[in-house]
Amino acid sequence: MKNLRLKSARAAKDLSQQALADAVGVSRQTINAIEKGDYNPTIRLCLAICHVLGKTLDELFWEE
Amino acid sequence: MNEEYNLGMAGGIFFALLIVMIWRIIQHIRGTDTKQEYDERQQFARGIAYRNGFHCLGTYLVLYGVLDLFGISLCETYVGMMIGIMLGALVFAVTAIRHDAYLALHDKGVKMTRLGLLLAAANLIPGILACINGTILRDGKLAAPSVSLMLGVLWLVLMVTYHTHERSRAAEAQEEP
Repeated sequence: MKNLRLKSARAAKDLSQQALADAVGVSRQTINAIEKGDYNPTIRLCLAICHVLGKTLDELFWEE
Repeated sequence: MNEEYNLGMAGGIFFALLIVMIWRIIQHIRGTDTKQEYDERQQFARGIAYRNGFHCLGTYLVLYGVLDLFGISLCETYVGMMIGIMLGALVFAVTAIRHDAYLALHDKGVKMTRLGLLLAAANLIPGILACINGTILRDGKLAAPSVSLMLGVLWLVLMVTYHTHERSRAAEAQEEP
């Protein structure tokens, strides 16, 4: 399932996939895979993304 | 001739190892030796790639063994061993490339391409020469000189796979908002 919330939160911060990837220490393809729903990140990476984007885990990763 | 060839091959391997060692030392002294770091998705993808490579090698060894049992031998033992290693390595590398997990986070694609093309040329030239000289076969079996040709082709396949994949990724990155 695509993670559109992550994509929009990233866009709201005016960050490219590469910029977010650099900030959390992963490759651009990893961020792309998370957004496309092709990769399920570990809690550690989820937290790192949340810190950079200023969001909570629920806001970005919790599925209703 | 055979002894001379084997000696030359051992010398070549020793020389290659020596160059790699010297290169590493120079990088260390200049402080340009970066740690090979992979992110969590890449580590997972590389695990899958290793598994695929291992399965490929296992399957090949079984086939080789069965053919040998029936007295069918298409290549010398050394060549047979090298084909298995090359197949396993190829499957690993192609799987890793397709999952964007071949290069580490700070690796440069240009460096890898240069090295790959250099290795392809360094192996293709003696391989083609062996074809021309007719030393690629001995008693109707693939002989040791054929390994150079196969290694050259392997590096070419890897370079083509890498660049095809990189092109599609570059297009994807441009589309990304």
